[in-house]
Amino acid sequence: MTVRLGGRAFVLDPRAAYGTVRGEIESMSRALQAWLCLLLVLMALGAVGAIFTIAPGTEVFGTTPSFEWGILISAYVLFAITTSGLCLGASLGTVFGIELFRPLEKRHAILAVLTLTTAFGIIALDLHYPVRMVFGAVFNPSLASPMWWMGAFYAGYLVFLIVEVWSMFTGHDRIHQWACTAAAGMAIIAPTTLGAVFGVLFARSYWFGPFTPVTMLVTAQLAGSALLGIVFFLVVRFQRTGFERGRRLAIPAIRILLAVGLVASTVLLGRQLVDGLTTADEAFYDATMVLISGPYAVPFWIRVIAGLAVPLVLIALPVTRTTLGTGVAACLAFGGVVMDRLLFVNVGQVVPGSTVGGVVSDPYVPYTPSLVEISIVIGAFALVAFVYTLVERYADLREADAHLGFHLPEFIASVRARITAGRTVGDADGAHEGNVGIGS
Amino acid sequence: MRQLRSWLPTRLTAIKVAVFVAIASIVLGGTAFAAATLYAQYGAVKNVPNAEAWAALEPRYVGQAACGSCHEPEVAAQDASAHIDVSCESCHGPGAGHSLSDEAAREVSLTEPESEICSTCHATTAGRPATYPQVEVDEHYEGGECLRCHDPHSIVAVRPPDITHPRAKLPDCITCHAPDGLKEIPSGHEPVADRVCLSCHGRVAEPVR
Amino acid sequence: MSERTPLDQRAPGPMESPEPASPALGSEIGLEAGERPPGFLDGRVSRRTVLQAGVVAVPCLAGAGLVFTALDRFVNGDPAGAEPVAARYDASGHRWGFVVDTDSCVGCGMCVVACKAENGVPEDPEYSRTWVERHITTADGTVRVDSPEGGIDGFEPGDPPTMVDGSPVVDARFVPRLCMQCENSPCTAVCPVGATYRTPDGVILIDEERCIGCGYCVVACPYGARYIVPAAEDTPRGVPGVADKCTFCYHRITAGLPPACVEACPVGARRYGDLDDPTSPVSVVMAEQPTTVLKEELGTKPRVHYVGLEAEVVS
Repeated sequence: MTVRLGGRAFVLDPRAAYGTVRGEIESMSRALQAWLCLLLVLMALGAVGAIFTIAPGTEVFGTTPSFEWGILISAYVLFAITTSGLCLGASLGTVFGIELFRPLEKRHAILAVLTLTTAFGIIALDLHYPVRMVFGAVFNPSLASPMWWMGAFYAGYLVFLIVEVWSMFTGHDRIHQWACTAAAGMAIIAPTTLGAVFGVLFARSYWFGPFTPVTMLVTAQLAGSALLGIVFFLVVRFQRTGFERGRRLAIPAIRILLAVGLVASTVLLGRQLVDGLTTADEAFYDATMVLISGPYAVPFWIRVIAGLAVPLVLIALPVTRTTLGTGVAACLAFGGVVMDRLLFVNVGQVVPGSTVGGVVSDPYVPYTPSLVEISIVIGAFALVAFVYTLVERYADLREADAHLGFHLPEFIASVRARITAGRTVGDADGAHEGNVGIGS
Repeated sequence: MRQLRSWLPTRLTAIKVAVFVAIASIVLGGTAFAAATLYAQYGAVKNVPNAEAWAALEPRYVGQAACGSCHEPEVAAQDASAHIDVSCESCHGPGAGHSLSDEAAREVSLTEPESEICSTCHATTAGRPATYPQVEVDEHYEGGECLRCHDPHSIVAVRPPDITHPRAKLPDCITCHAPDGLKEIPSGHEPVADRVCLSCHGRVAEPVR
Repeated sequence: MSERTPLDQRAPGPMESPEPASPALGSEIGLEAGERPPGFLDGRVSRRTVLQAGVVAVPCLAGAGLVFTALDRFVNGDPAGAEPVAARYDASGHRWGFVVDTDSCVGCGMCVVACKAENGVPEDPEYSRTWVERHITTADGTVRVDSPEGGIDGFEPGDPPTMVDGSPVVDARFVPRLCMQCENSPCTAVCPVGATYRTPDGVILIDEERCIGCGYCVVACPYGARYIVPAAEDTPRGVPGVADKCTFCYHRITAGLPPACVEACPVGARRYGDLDDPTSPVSVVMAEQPTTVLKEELGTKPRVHYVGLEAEVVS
């Protein structure tokens, strides 16, 4: 029995498999071998860390009751918003028919699935009883809990995303449209609800408030665009499948997406700082000062300058409006988002809202991530990079030239026609025939 | 009758139906079993049995009444004192197991408190209400052996007997009764200053004629 | 269908599908409108088939029902056979409340000792169901809080300070802390699986078999009352990795005993009782003295009331 992947034939047979794998490894370049080796080592590190978390209650994390959510939650938030941002950016092409964003499709979808499953994996390791979560969420849904809704939305999102990827690679265009649209909707709802998970906690002044979900959504868009920027920069740099299109269309598209995300993030950050410095809420003020001049000032200002200001300048200046410039801007922006989510989760807890169990934290609650936590986070990044490298090598990443999309004006026209005709018509097939994709 | 028979399924159909019913029952039953198990374990209905389980835990602090059934004199002495609100188990630890029977009592012996426990409550400490009886322990009695004078249950200091001294005009006790002094310090006392002698012992009485 | 109508005249039911499939579906699979696609259950179903289906369905459903009932009985137990605590205790007949008198607390830590011993709370002070703080307030309005080891060994003896950081001390008192058993509790609201819940008598409990250990309730509690049980030798219910907190000693109050901390308090600074009963210790204190609750501005409606804290900012 043989399986064909990306033009290569693989024989499914224990003896042949070894030879195939060996042949594959030998056919790789030295650099690729080294890269995959490094990632394997890091993944092994993460796996070792993961083993430590299996027995519930063993104190392998650096967290305490005063600082219950550590870097695993930061990492979960990061991956969960990145997946939504990837989906949002790419849905502009398929869902809204904006031609510029068309070539982002396949890579975004695969990365979205990867980051989402990684996010689920991290949260499963952070929870003491992940299996109970599934049964508990189904058999005793707690509708007042934002976390329940977040889980429900992300679960739905995963389903739509899987359908989207499947339909994309098997050419089920009509299903693909619907899956894309549904996934895009979920990609807006899910990170917003994730923001609400933090935003409802009036015990934590820094997280509390209506702007937390908004910020989460905007950060999601920025994170997704930045990761896509990194990927497409590498695609162009290493001349991977479709790099021509990537250079001509993806890079400019990413520049626009990044600019939107960076500007929106800056505006929201400015609003938050003004609010934090003028507020009557002491804990919120203290948290803001922790960022500006307190123990988290260095990472904060690095994030502001290197993660927001510099990439904005790189995108704005005509000189750096190149593939390399965009790539660097995307890298910096993604690093900024990583830092930002780390700061978000930490600063929300660093100012003591109360003594916890008699532990008086004066003035700040200490937290140092344990080696187990760090190794899991590193392993998670390595996992995404490893699987994506294999995808880049073996999956057919050529974008179809003509996508069936909801070309919005035509879609509206067809709906109107349906209403006036008083009968249902098969989803405006005719309208889409003229809608030939670009770049053939 | 014939009409009725025509309504009934043929034999072949009956077999098919039987197989279908069997499979359906297994599937439905399995699903029902899984759902019932999981709902019983994870559903909201679980609140009541869980609260029952919390309520069914065994108390470890048994309360004053249980202590008094055997240790009547101590409890009575305490009830007559300012320590009336203090529970036996505050100082002696939880009584579960101890009070069950004589045999168990031997196995589960309670804490025999030392003098330190007095200063936990009565040492002068910032934050204590001003009206609450507090002492600078070392000033009150050097070494802080509260139980040497105080009965732990009735609290009142059991004053040592007044001293009948053969001599009428006396200098400080310590002039004679001191380490390497003329006389020994009676009854194994640690070397203590004069005023401390008199803070426990009654004033030196006139010699008996 | 509420009205009885002859079988032949009633409106077509979903099973019968006399109309052609919807045009949308038709065109979807390449059929002109009006052309009826061949399919399962196509056309009118004969009376005979309906009866046959009934003959099959009735025993099938009945059998499944019996199986379900038997299994449910097997899994959940015989409802009549269980002997609930409800036999000796009526949860809906009480509204438990708690009063902490900071005017009389001496900071001895007997309550902390008793709580840990009674409930098997791990020794490490960061895992505490109750603890004692000392609040030293100076004239400039700042409150300094200390709680060495959660106050389990009492506080270091010493004369009350008169000045702290150049500001005269205006007040020094001990403030025992525990779960507030809020009526409007953020912890129960945020739990994604409903593992923490409120009993009819107003005590918030945690189901250690449903808790997933996500820590959401721990970060949501404004009073720092919760912790995740570590894998220690002595734990409240023997389940590590789940949330835990003060239960008002639910096993004691349902048996008519006061909570262990109340039992152990030598100065009567902790009082406990039914808020609905005017003769209970809690009601008596609350009728005689003004009380406050911690962080009233959050609207959590705590059931633990404090005497002697005049709107002090409690951090």
